Amino acid sequence: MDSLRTVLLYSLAAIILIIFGGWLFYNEEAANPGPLSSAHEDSANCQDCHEPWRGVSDDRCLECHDFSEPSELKSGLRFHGAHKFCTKCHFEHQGSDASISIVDHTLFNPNLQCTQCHFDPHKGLFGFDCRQCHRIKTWTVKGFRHPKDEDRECYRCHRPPQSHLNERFWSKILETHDMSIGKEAQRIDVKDCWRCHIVHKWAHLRMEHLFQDEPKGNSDD
Amino acid sequence: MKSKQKVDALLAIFFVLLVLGFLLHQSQTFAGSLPGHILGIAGAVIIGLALVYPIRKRIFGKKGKANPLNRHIIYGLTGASLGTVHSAHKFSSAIGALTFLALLLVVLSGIVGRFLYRNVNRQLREQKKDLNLLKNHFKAMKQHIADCLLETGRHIEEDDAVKRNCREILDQAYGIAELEMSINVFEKTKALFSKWLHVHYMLTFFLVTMLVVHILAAIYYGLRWIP
Repeated sequence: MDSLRTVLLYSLAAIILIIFGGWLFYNEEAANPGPLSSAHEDSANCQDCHEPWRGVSDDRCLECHDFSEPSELKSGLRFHGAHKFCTKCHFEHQGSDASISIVDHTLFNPNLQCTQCHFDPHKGLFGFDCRQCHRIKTWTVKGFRHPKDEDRECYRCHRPPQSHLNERFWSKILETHDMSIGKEAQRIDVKDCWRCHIVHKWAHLRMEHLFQDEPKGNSDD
Repeated sequence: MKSKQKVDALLAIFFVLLVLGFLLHQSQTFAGSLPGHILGIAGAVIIGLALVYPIRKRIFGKKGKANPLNRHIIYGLTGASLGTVHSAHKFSSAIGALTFLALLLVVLSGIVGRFLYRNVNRQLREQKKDLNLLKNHFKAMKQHIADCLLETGRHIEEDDAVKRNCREILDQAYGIAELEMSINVFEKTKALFSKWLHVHYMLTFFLVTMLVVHILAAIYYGLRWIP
């Protein structure tokens, strides 16, 4: 009697679980791993992007997105002309405000130069082979340490801004400072960044050391 | 490493992964990535291996050394640990969250069975053995009990030997009463725990159902790493 009751109980549980499992599988909302991005949140249903048993395909993306004329695209989007690998870089269901793009640089043509898409903050000073120092996944240069205060070769990496190349800038400097040292001031080269600037904060000027030949630490801090 | 030590180590690993993962390993995309799926598939297969134990025990009647429980526990905890890492501690979809919940409940009910139920049984066995010893001893002191009863009401303090026997008999009677009471509590606890195995089985059914739904849904909506 007891075993019959147990068998009935287990059979009932199995039936309930099968019905529950089936309902869960056919309930699209139950499989939703997170809200869509604001650009896609109006999609009517999952099948707009997911092909049953095949997943998200490039064809489904291209039903809405048109990259047929790459020359008309913004320069940063021209590589979309390949018409494939959409899901290698774009991930959905990250939330309505989240970015859906994580660019997989390994998919690009190896002849493509970084500066064709990215702005070069070094202004060409280090050449164009960015991979000598930077990696695709970690742009930060490992082990990089800024040169010490005493280093005077700032110009090797930093270029003077446009204002510093203008005669009026230097006239203004002379006007605001004691004119009696004007002759000294004229000895300052635009590459002598260290005469006015200190290392730890570029906007911080070492005024009292302005015309000294040797920088003496950060006594103006 | 002995089988018991392996079980303890795996149990510790499971809880460390479960708790620390919330701090160190939360990712929205890991579960669906290739490494995430490799872990998930491996976890599901190993959980499947853990099911061999109850099938061999219930259907083929294999028990004891031919079908060791520790192997079932080792497979169960390894599979659960892999499943925990696969989840990347993000339970965004209802199916994913329910599958993980089922996994957790099965492991917890397993721990209850493995540690608490076994301890209750062991305690009960030991207490019953002690009770038998005490009862036998009590019976052997029959003559002294009679003397003691005869002396009741008199000034038994005057006779040291009778006084000593009476006190010993009284202590033993108290001991027997306490043990009987304790055994009664353990019997009730055991009766409650006897339902545990059914709970563990039901939760396992739930887990298997959720695993099937989870795997089917993953394939239906697409495996991202398959071109």
